Amino acid sequence: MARDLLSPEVRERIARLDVMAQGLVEGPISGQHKSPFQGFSVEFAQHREYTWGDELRHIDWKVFARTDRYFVKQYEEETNLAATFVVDASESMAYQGERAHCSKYEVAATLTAGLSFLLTRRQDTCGLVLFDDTVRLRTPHSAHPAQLRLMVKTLAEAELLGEHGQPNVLGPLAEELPRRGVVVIASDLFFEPEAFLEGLRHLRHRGHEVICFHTLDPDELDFPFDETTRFEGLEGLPHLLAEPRSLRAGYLEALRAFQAKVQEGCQRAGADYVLVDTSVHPGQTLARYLNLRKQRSHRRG
Amino acid sequence: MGGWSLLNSPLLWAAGLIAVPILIHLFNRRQFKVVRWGAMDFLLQASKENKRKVKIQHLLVLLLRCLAIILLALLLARPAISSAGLGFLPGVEDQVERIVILDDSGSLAYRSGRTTAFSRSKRILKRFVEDLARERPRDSLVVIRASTPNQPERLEAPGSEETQRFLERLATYEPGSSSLDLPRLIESVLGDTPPAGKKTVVYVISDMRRRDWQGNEGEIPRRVAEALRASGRTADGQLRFLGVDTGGEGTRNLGIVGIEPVDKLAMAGLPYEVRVRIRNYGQADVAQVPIYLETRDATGSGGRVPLPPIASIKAGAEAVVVHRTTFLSAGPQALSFQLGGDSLPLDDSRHLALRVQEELQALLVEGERGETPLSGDAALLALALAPPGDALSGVEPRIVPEADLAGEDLDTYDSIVLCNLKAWPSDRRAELERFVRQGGGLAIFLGSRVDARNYQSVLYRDGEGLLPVSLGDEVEAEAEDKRPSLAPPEGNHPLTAIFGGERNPFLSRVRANRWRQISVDPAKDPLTTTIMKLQDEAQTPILLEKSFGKGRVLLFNTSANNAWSSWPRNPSWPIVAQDLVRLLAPPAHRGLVLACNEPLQVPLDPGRFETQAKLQLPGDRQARELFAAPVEGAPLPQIRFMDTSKAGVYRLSTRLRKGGDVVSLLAANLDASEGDLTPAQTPAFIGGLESAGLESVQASFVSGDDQTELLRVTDGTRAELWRLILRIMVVVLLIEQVLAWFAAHHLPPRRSPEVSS
Repeated sequence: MARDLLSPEVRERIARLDVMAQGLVEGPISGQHKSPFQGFSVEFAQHREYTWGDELRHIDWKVFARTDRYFVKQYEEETNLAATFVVDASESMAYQGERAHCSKYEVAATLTAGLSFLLTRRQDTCGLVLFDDTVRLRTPHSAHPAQLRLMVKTLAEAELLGEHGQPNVLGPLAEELPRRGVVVIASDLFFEPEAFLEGLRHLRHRGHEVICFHTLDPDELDFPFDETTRFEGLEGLPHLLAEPRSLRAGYLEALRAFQAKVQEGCQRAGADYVLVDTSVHPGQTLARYLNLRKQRSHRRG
Repeated sequence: MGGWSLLNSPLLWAAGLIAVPILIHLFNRRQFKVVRWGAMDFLLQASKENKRKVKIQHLLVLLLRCLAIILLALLLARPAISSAGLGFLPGVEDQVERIVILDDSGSLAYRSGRTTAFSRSKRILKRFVEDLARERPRDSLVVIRASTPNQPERLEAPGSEETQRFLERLATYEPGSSSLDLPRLIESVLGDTPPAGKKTVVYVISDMRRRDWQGNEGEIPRRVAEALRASGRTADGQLRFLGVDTGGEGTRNLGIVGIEPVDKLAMAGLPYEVRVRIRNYGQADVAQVPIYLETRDATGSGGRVPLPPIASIKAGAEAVVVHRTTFLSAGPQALSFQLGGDSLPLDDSRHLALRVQEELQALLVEGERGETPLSGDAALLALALAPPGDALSGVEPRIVPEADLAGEDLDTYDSIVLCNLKAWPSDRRAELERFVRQGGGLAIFLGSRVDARNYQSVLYRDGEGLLPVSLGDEVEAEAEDKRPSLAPPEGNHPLTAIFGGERNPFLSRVRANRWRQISVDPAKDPLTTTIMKLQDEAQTPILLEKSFGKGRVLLFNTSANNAWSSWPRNPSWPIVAQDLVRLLAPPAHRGLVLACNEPLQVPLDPGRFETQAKLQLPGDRQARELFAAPVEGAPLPQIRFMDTSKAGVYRLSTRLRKGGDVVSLLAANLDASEGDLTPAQTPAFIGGLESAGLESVQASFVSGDDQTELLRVTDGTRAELWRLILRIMVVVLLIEQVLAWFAAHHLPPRRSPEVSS
């Protein structure tokens, strides 16, 4: 029924996102049977029988010695991971260059949907926050199977709007989230980085794991324009008629400075920074990231 | 342009292509792609930081492209620079003083081929002025013509309107009747301007004829050297002298070089003979040369008749044509002889103006009137001059008593004879002297009334006056048989022709009763000659002659009647009397023939004439008005006209106060030597300058034709600059490409690692 209320365009977007998420799960991250995220509590809660993919370090060897059967320890709240997906739905996220697979928003939405799929499969809760210059929409956290569908629908229906501004999202979110979890940010971060990093540090201070998918189009990364171009600013920014070749160096310098600042800020705050190039399939990006997380956790282990 | 010029200046239009990059630039600004851009902040930041830099870069690239196009256009236009154009460099001449002497004498009208030497000269000068305006605008230029030596034309700013007006005037100049007086021209133009330390170049554009450039025994180069030295510009390297030869190869030319009256007087009804000299200047004999005579009287009537052609004239020789004509009536007449025409028409005609008279007017001033008709002091002379009868002697004597002398206008007479005059009025002394000085004749017969003191003080004036010799005391023959006769004359004098021959019957029959003691002092009387003497012990002169100005004075140391000698009763007396009056009369052409450019000056007695006169020039239909004006040192006002450059017959008309016009014809002739086209030996001229001590002056000669560029000759050739411009253009294009590359440089993205934590 909900589908009947949707416009054909929106329905197409939902179907598309569905497929992408599905493909992502069945494709690059198909090997991820587990949630890539683990619980934060170290208090032993109970044993459960070992399944393929559980980390060997969680096998309770005493129990094996006693029973000759493999059991893993479960910790408190391990099964209560709450993931909050903060997705940028501002106008700038609509940009899609010639080399991109899809728009930045679609990539962000696909990453969100894919990760949500993994999490909801393990009964971890997922929530969604859409923002532009302010929080536009929040879905409550839920582990219900319908949660993914709801999130996909919400993502697909969202209109990319908004004036250029300084969204204050992360700080209030850090206050509102009841317990520690994972906050996944998917945005082009085209706003003042300091305020964003402040919010990020706030989240980290509250114990959340933060992952920042910095989503950019290859055009924004390379600035390949040659001919005289009229750049029409989105989100209410002014237009500019320019010779791109003469601005290329300056633009790239500014962009890289910005990106470096964000990256450094994330690193300092202990958040994961992932530069997402929309010319790369989101599945590849996600798979690469998840493998990296796995390797990192093995090194720690 | 100060030494710069464009050899293909029309192609400079290519510089208009400079509009192309500008139009492309403007066109591109209107054609653009539209991109809805999210990362606007970074773009705006880059634009703000680079705005000025970008603008400058774009402007620089655009300017370089425009410069490249301009250089291309310049390359096509083939710029060139002469050494003069490097004047801005230290050590190179800043300003040069340039003098051009343009020879416009008559010989420049010589035509060889389709053009005359003067046409070539004008073309060369025009090109020089234009080159100077373009390449050396700061140089000063003075142009002076041979015909106007006192009117140099100074062009301080070649290229200005003043120069344009000069070029317009130059187109109208024609060779005239003047000669090239090179030393005078140099003095005139260089003497006026003090040397300013600049280099001076003197160009003389001439046909290089020997008469103008060599003169007698190297006189011309010597005088030129003096003039140059006097200008103060002969320091080492300061002065350059360049002769430009526009004369053709040919020297073939016939010219009338003179008309010489054989008969001194032109009397109506009597034949008048002239000799016309024609010279063949060429290298080949000529035959059957046509010659014409044109006559004209005061009314302008006359005609042109062919004379018998001249049979032949050898190369380098003269032929003489004797022509006799009879004037039927008295009055002004002009004879113009003309050849058939050749390459130099200016010397093919020559003119003679003269006064034809019915009778000679002789004033006989009588000291004492006799009691009988033939006893007066002048009676026998008058009888001899105009014997009774039907035959006309051609002389009209007028006896005027001494007491009535005051009322006589001496200028109306051809000759004046004083017969036993007691004294000449001192207040009329100057008038009498002027009469003789201007060509009139005076004869003085002595007698007992003569006041020697008056003659000494008024007429002799210690040798400065009219009287040929100082008068001594009177001497009387001791006895009748002791009266001396005339001695045979020495030499050939017109008055003594009757006494020629060894057994002359007249000499012994003329006996002197009284005479004065006189002797000629060579120191005081250098112009006095003794024509006849008495056969007395002292060999006393009885007839003496003195030249005075253009005229002469004859002193008879006897009386004009029988009182002092028997001469008046001698058969020779009438002959002598007639010859005397003819000798005393001025030539028919006296004061009526000028050289071209010689001022025309005619005294006008305000008592008889009105001061206004009219003068008609040769070839002109209209007469111009002139006014008599006082002239310093002259007793009478004068009609003066300075521009007699035109050869031919001038007609002067003056009006008598009592009514009626008096017309005079005057002839002006070209200097006959202008027809001599023998080329000068230019090395001789240079040698002459060096001999005169002017080795420091760089003198040279070049041949002038339609291709001659004087500025190239003196200032060096031009160098083309296309190679230099091509190199500059290549450098400009390289810089433009490098700059354009930098402006468009696309930095490869340096992306951070995808994931970091």
